[in-house]
Amino acid sequence: MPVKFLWVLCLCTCALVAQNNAPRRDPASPLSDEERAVHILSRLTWGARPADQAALKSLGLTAWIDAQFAADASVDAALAKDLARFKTLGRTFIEINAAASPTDQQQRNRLRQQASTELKQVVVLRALHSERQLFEVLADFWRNHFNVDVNKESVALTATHYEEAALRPNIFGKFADMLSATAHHPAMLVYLDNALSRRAPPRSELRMIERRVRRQTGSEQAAREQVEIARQSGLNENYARELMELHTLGVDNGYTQKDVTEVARAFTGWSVDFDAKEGSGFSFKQDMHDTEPKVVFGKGLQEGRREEGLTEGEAVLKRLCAHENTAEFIAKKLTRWFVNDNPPAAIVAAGKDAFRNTKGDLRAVVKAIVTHPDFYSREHFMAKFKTPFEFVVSALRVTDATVVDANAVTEAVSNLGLRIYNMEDPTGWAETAEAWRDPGVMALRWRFALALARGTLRGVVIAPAFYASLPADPMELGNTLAQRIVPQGLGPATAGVIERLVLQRVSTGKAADSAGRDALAKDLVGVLLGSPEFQQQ
Amino acid sequence: MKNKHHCNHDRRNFLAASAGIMLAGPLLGGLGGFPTLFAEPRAGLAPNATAELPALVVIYLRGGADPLNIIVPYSDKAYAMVRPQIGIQTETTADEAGIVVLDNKYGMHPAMSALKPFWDSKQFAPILGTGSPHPTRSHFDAQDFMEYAAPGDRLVKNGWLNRFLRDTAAQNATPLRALAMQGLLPRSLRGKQPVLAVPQLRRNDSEGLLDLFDDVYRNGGIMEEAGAMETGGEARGREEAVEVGRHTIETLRHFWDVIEKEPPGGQDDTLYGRDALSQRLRMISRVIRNNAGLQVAALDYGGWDMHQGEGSVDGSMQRNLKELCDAIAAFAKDLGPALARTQVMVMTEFGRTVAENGNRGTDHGRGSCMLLLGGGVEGGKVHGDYGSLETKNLEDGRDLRVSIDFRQVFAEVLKGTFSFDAPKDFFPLFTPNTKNWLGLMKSTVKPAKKG
Repeated sequence: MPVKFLWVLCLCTCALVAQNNAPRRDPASPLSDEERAVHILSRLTWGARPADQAALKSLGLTAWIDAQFAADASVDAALAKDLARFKTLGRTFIEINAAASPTDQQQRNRLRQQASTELKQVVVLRALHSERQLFEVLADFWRNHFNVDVNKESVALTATHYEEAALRPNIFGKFADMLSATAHHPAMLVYLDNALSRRAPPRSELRMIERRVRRQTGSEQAAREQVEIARQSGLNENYARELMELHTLGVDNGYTQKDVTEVARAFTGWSVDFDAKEGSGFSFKQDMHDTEPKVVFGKGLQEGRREEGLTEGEAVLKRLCAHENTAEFIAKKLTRWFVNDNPPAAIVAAGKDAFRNTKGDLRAVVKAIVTHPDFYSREHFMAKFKTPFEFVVSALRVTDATVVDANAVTEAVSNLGLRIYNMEDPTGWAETAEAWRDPGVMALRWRFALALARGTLRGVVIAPAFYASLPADPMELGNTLAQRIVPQGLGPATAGVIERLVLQRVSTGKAADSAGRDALAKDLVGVLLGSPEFQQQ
Repeated sequence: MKNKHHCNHDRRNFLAASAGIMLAGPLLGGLGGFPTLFAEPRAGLAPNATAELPALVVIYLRGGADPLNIIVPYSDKAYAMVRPQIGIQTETTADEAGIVVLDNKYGMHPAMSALKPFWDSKQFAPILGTGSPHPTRSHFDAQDFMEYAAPGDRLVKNGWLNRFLRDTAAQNATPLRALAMQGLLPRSLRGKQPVLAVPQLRRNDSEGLLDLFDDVYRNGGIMEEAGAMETGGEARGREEAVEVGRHTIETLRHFWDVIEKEPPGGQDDTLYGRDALSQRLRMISRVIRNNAGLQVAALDYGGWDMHQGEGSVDGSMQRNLKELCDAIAAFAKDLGPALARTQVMVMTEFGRTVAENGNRGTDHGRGSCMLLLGGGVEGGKVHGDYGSLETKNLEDGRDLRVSIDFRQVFAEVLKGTFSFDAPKDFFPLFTPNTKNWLGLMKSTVKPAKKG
């Protein structure tokens, strides 16, 4: 090995390390302009395509953010045209089911399957291709906040209308409107069992059950359990509880078990009727409704006038939206989503104020959070661990990958543990790191990264043009890819592996021709997508 | 991180040496052209358990398996009446296999014949009439209630097996004490105690993957050495990702080391079919026989919600049951002497309608059955019964009654496998009857009264 060649290699190594290593800065130092751009793209988009970086640069940070808040559906006309191939998109239960004969069970099962797979595909295609990236990031926030599960009973046939009619129109609208739309929607009513909730059996009947079971079993415990079960067989508190715990106030945050029961009684009769000729399937059933007076948060629901039936539930929703704890809970959760797993108090306070001042205008709340000066604190920079959905979609976006079959994307995400629209728990999928930084699953992320880079993933390809546009020089190739995929800069371990990979190929003559460079580029992309840096945003 | 400085030192020496390796230009093998870069002797996790621990393997049949076509009440005249198309016939004829007779009332579906030897050796027993006091017929709720072992209580969010791990944590700290042989943990194993969810990766295909990322997932010692101060979200997040990556590499390698080690005694891998269930049980057998500290393993087996096409001996029931029972039989044979300390428990969320529906299937019901196989099982007898299939005897006129609370079964199996006494509130609102065990396990059988 000639000494001169060694020297050249050594110089190259130094260059790589210098360019790719993360700058070491004082934790108190402000983010540079470049870092601010990286930060905003990492949080307000599903991953920065090369075009996004360029757009942000030409518009400037503030104008780019404003444009994201201002963009309406018209910017996605091409995408909407593409999505028109999904025949069930946005349809109601009744519209979808009209295509099946009522007696053909297999045909009905196929429709269920079609409706839920199409919905999942639409979710990933929008995240991938929409120009309204902030809107789509928020869509995912709300679909987890107001989680429903397509595996539960009829939800497969109602979720697509739920997404289109209950969630999306209100993403930049009023919180109260979104809450009300979900409360009235068959997807939510079935998912959280409110559709079954009816007046509880009278106390006398419960006492009889208790006596009978105690006599039969001699067990006080068994008697109590059976009474509890009988009580639930009428009144179902599932929705009432989650409405307060997960949708508005936050867990144990300003309501009692008594409130849960009273709210559940207010919502009795909010049910579904899928035999109707039209409509979403929502139906208020007076005969299931508990007509006795109710007291919620220490205040009667009737308030001196005779509210009954539907209006009682609506009055509850109104009270919840006006509750200070709801403003705080929503602001905190959005801050956790956009800023940090440990939401900083100052930003939460700004979001909460915006919520209260605008009566829950969600555009104003989100804006208060992402334009807060502390948003750019170094403490939050690249501090969030990507969920499987964020990891997969950002990998596809930074590599400008072409999705031939969107099912391949939903499968890839689900292999990593997140099944879109298929979370059984009403909490929705967690956004925080501890839910996803599981040993075992990391290996699957690496496998995905390599398969995508190499083109062995079914249904998804990185276009040859992506590789063709890269510099021919192996060193520059490494630098360019590192900057594109990990724009915040590499940590020392990853930088070391990247540079050794390049040097090894150069020194063995493996990077001399275009086939060799192509292979090297793919390997570099795989390592970068699997790196710890790329798991963060 | 006491040894951090030491590690950095090694790392620096290693980096210095690595230039030589590169320039010598060896083309190291790896994952389809990925060089296995600079493999260092790896630390790995010391397998610190060598004792022969008792183990419980739980197989969950998702979807509500049909009890009446698993353990067939052939002596009940009503059976053939309510199941004109999908009933299993008693006698084997030239056209169609009949039941495998167990006793004078019950027989098994013919697809279960692989379990017959374990019935004969008194290591296999079905339990009939099992279920939940909660009448839900929703998969979602019934599975939740069963796996959290808390019917009707939606606030309990840790699995019953995780609670067992919690209560016995002091006695076992090995990395493989609990395994889920699937990417996501079943609810029964969810909770604070760590459980390894084994991703579906073969070592042959994946060792290169781990080797490659072994170098990427190293903590950033170089920076500290350079005296750079680096905190803030970015470095901290990266270090945390690195930590879990390292843990992944080490635990998976440890798991693979364990399942590749030829266990003492034992039988032979060729016993198993190629299906996923068999292959997952094969791995569990190796972890058990190599004494790697396993206490609990859980597997899901889906596809039992047979609203149509369940069939008698020609439908999805036949297919699923054969795969299930062949796999369990292979596992039990393969365990050899280790079967003495191992139990397999098969469960499902609810039974199905007694009468067949119009689609050669059955709909969601109530009372069900469970299967137990293992060295500690009081086998060779049918525990519990279905009761009469006459309509007037059924719950809501259509479903088997629940006569055995599934929590009683859980408690007895924990008792009989681990000598574990469930503490108060282990099962919320339920105290197992320890004075009158059902006698499902050898150790819970009442001693015979002395004449």
